[in-house]
Amino acid sequence: MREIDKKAYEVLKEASLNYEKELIRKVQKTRDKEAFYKLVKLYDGRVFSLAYRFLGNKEDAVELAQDVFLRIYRKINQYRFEALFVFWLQRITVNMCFNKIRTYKKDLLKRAADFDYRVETADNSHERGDPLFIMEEEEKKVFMRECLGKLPPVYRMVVLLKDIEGFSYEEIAKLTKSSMGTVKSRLSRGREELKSIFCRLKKEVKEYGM
Amino acid sequence: MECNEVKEMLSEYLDNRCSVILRERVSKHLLRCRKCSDELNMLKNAVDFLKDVKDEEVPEKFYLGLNKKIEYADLSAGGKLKIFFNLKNASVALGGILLGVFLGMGIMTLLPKSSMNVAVKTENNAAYNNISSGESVNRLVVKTSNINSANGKIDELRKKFDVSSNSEDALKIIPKRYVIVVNGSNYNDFMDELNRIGFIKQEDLPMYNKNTRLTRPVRMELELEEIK
Repeated sequence: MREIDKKAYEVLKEASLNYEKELIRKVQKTRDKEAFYKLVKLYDGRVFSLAYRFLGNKEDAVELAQDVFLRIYRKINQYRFEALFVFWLQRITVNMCFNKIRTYKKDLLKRAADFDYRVETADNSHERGDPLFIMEEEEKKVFMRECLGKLPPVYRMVVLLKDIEGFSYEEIAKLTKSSMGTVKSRLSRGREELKSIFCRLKKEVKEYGM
Repeated sequence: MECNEVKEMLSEYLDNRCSVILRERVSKHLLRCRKCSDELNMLKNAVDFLKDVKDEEVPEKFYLGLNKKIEYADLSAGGKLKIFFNLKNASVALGGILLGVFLGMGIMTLLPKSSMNVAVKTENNAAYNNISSGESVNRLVVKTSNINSANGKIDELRKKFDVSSNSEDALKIIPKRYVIVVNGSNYNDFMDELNRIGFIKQEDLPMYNKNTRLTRPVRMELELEEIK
């Protein structure tokens, strides 16, 4: 980043953190609903995306995301501004996600249907170039969910937290209640599997001339 | 360093999480090993792809649902009377009871002009003090998972107890809200009936049946709330 861009970025970051702090304080003091919903708006996409990409089921993700924010609303006074708000938020999300997915074991077949892998849905209009980057935004999202769905849940979560949420190794260790070594190996294996899935796709695309 | 060793380190290498020594060894290997270098590139592509995709779009029903949950949470936190029945027993749950004074429509035509109590009370005990003195409204929020069954029960109640004039029917327009005007003398029977069909629990009945002084009709508003 250029020096001036860096500064601008820092200023913006600080400003948005202050904005967030104010909202949280309002909710803590007076249970200000308007402030609360503004807070929700800041993070609804992230919480929902994490839940949806982890669970693979939209309805469950919606419900889970609601429950996350409900918990925040009810326990807002427990937040003491020590860690980042988003960290607290996603920790709740991660816990709820794992709790939810445990209930899926009994219903494997039904859940598996949500992860149908369909190469045909990829956009055929481009013949050259890396198909990964040529897909439309919506296709990318679908494709990503499908690929992630093929990973074991523990790998999936670490990949989501690192490569999409952008948490550090240390933060991920805390969020998933595991050791650093575990985080490293799960991330490594998760990414490796994902990479193979992507490579397989590229091969198929080349072979079938899509 | 061997290729298989390097392969295991690629993820950490990408994130710059290796020790300085390891990093140097991996770098050296990558310089002379095309295969591993390609592997790193493919890994980087995969990771970049993930970073590139935007957040999922949050559906509208998320906000609607959240709204409901928050409202309900506020209601619970307020400490109003809440009793729940087990849904499996196909009974309905008693939500909250708010007693207030209603400058309502039909009641005025039924009663002789008397002093009007306009206080809105939310505690059950205080409200009962008002019952004999002016118009009073009992409002029951009935939570049910089976709206049809609850509707049916309310219809039966109406047939038995309702003495309101036809203008009350105007309130039917409000979905899931019913008004039953009950004669003072029938009030206790009405409460017993509510208990029999499951709208009020047995142990709460004495609280409602205290009033022997009721001479005026009581306007009962029943509001159905669907729960899943």
